[in-house]
Amino acid sequence: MKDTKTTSKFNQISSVTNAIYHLIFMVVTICCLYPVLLVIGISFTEEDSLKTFGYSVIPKVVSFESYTYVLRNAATILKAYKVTIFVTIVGTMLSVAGTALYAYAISRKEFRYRKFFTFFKFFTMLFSGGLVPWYLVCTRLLRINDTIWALILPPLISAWNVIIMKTFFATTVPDSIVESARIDGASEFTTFIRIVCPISLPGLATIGLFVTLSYWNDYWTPLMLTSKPNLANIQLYLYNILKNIQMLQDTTNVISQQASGEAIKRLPQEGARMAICVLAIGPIIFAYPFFQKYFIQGLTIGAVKG
Amino acid sequence: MKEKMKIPLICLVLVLSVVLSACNNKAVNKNQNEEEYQIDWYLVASQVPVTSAQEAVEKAANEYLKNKLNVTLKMHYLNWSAYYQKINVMVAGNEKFDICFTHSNTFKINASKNAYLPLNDLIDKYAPKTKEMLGEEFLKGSQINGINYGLPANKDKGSHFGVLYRKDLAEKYNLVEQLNAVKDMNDIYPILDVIKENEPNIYPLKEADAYSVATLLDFDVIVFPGAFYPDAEDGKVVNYVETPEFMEAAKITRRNQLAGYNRKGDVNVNNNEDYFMTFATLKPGKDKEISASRKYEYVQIDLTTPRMRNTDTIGSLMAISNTCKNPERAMQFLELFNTDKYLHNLIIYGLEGVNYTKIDDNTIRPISDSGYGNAGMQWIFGNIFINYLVEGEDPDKFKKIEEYNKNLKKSDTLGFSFDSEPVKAELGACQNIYDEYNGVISRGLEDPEIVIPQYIEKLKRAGSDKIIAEMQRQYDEWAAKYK
Amino acid sequence: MLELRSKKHLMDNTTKSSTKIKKKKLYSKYFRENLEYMLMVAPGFILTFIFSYIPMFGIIVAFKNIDYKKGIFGSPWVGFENFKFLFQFPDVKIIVRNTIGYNLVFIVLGIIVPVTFAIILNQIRNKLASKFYQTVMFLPYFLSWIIVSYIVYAFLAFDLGLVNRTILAPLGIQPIEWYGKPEYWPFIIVFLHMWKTTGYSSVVYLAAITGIDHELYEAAAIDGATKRQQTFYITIPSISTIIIIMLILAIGKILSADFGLFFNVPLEQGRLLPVTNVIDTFVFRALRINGDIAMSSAAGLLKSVIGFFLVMVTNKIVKRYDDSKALY
Repeated sequence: MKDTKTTSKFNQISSVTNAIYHLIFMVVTICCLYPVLLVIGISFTEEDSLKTFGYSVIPKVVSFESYTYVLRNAATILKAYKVTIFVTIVGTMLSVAGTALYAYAISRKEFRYRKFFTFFKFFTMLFSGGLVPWYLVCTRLLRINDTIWALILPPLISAWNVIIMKTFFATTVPDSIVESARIDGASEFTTFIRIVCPISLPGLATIGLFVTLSYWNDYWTPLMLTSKPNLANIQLYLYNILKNIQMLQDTTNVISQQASGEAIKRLPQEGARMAICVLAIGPIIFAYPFFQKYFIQGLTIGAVKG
Repeated sequence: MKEKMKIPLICLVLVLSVVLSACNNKAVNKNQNEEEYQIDWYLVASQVPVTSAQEAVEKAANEYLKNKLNVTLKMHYLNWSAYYQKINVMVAGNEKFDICFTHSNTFKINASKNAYLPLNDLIDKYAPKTKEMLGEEFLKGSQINGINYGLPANKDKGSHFGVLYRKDLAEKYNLVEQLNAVKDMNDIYPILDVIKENEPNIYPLKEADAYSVATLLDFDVIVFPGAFYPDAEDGKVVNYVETPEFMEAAKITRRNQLAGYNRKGDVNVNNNEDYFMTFATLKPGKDKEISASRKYEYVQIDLTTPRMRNTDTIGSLMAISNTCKNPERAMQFLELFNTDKYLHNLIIYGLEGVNYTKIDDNTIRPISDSGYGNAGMQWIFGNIFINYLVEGEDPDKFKKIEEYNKNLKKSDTLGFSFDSEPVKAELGACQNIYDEYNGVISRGLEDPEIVIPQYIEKLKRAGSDKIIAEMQRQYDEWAAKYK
Repeated sequence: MLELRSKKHLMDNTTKSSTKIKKKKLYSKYFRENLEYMLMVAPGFILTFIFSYIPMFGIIVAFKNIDYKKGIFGSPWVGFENFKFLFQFPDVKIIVRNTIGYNLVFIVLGIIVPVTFAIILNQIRNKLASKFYQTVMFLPYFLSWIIVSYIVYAFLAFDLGLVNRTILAPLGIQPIEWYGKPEYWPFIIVFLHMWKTTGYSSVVYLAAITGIDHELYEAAAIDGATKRQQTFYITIPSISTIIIIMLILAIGKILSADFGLFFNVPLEQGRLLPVTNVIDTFVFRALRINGDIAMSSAAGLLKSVIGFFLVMVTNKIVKRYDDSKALY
């Protein structure tokens, strides 16, 4: 009894089980989608009606005031988005390449020093010298502060990704393939690029996604290492606005007690925070579907096994 | 003949002495008065200036400074989010900068760790006018063991507590006269009753965290939990949580919560505008400032004595970094900045016509989005009394503040700075206990007769007695030396 | 005879030299391979060395009383003074219990739930639905804990919250003061943690499942294995390595906590502290007024050392069972 639908559907699960699965995930969907819709709804709601009617997904009184407030400087924001996009793309490409190379090498049993290099990377997951020494290295030693490289290099190769990728290589790449390539006289690099990578697309897509997200969301690195406004990425820009609102609204703060007038002109509060959230997430939501096609079974490009 | 010789001779001698002293100076301190010196000045901004706009202002300032001091100014504005992170990291990394704004705890921590230079001599020598404006006692307040590590800003030098209430609601129910006659909290509750009965959507009173009935006790807090009684002259340090007054105040707050004056189950997330009356730190004209930034108009009632305490003196300071290469010039610059009306307003508000328009001699209107302007942040800059007023501000603002400053009751403890090093572990533990109990008590969410004894017991187990003893010891030592 | 002997001799020599040549070939291949591997790790090695190892000198800050005039290297040593504050809190046992307790639950659930979801998502017939569910599951990751704290407040506020007003009231139940009752919060916190992280964690397992050889399933199906049996005997064992690795990594972080979840979401309410104060929030509170970088450095170092020790132990245990599944 051959299943003629697709190659991946050898004896499917029963319809009942399928229905139960759908039910479970519909509940999950509500739990996950509702808060996001709420955030979007609030960002388009008039501030006063928020107080009267509370939160709701569909605004009782629609208003763009939160967005007008946050998007005041359209030119700066555009620049910030440009910075973020550039850093994310370049960073992701370099990171995935560097991480995969490192991970592949330490996944090979023939590599004499694999234990050392694995431990070398892993140790940094737990031990860190702290903020100040790191800052000194970046600014005094390397002098990358206030350059675009400050946003790309420090977080480039994360130990977490290396270890995940190494595990993927070790478990999904059969030794026989590498062996036969070696016998055919291919160099390690060639084997890696031509043979191993296509099979390991799910793993590469995974760390690609993680790295993309981490670069996109990073406000900390530009905060510490840049002071020029034209190097601020969108996260930092929005974080500054948020912090400003917080500082000036917090009545217990000595700062807000002393500030006056212009500094605390009527700030939309909750609407603005939600708008900031929406703008911060914005485009990156599409990153997940982009990488997704690599880790659903049956849709992988690389069925190069055997 | 001899007459004619005298003049060129004198000139020769003068020239020689100048050259000689210059050489000397060069040998001793290269940078003294010869070379132009760049001052790196770190400041906070609620909106970081646009680079080109800032450079224009710096250019104008530097032209002005060239003739006066031979310094060039480079300002570095940072947002609140980044400011202290950056300063702390620069300090820890021994990075070169000259002057930075600082305040409150960050100032104390960094100063006690020698991040900043001692300024006493520099102030005496190069900033006599600023010193006079600030006054001995105000300067004393921010000292650590008699040494000044920052130059305070000249503004309101003290504060007091009270309440702010919404004018529109007061007028609606004809409560204005009653409110004007209020002498203490007891007079206020009947007024709150009126609001409570008639406005179901408005909470009558807001009590939360640092602002509750207990605040009116006006304890002079050193570091939690050690404090002095407000008017005590015996220099006795107490754990204010253990005092009967604190318990009494907590009981009143509890009653307020149960009686419906406070919001039920308040977690302190909400807008002040939902409340009729809130507690606040006040100064003259505070209500007008608050009103400008909120939807409704507010009026203030002053309830405690205006005092000058140590905490009031560290609200805004300029510190000189220990990595500054020419502290003398830096201090000279600060003195000039604090006294020169043109320079002061140039740096705060920017260039006339570009960043603001002048309405009359002393009032301006900032031009929005001009790329530079610190309206609203005047308090971080050295001397508010020579500022232009911003449109809409009370024209008598400065007079009122000066009057206020003159009449402040000066605390006995001005100048005492507690070194927390010996008990820092116990203090850290007490901070966690504070977080556990303070909010609850200040909002009346639990019965204080049950909760306060628990609070005290936990504090004692964390070492509060040791803290109090250490504070007393340090205070007695300080008092013997400096009072 | 002579011929034979000399032939043998020749043969011996040739075998010897051919073995030598083979050995040389192997050795040079080995050397070349290792050289290539060394080149592969070079970029990662250099970057890690610069950004992680050079700054490690900062660990000494934990043992010093920092004086900024003298700088990090010139400041005096004070031994373990900076560590004291971590132990002198009367409720320190509660803090540690909270941290480890929550993390153990997070570790266990954090593997079971994403793995289960990943498996289910791969089995659902409608692939489009599966993709949709995955994407939606990922969304909570994007919301910062501060935003989440507002949303939670909208649900749990005493007078105006959704739960009290629209769920409990119609049922005739008295409104509950959620932010004052610590007993509910372990559940709320665990739920929120799973809600936020499941989507992200499941990606790793999804990718791992995708990498399983389809032929294994085909063979099993032909042999008559049910879907359930396939799951337990093929899917799970195939991804067991990645599961164990994630487990070991999580154990290393057992003393850390997601700050936003434990600090912001409970809105800093004091009555909830006995169940929401973890090591990281405790340190933050303790250092707020009087703290210095030496004390926070000490806290971080202690966490690192303990975490490291735990990982070594766990890794050794795993190695005893199956060497290939260990971390290194």
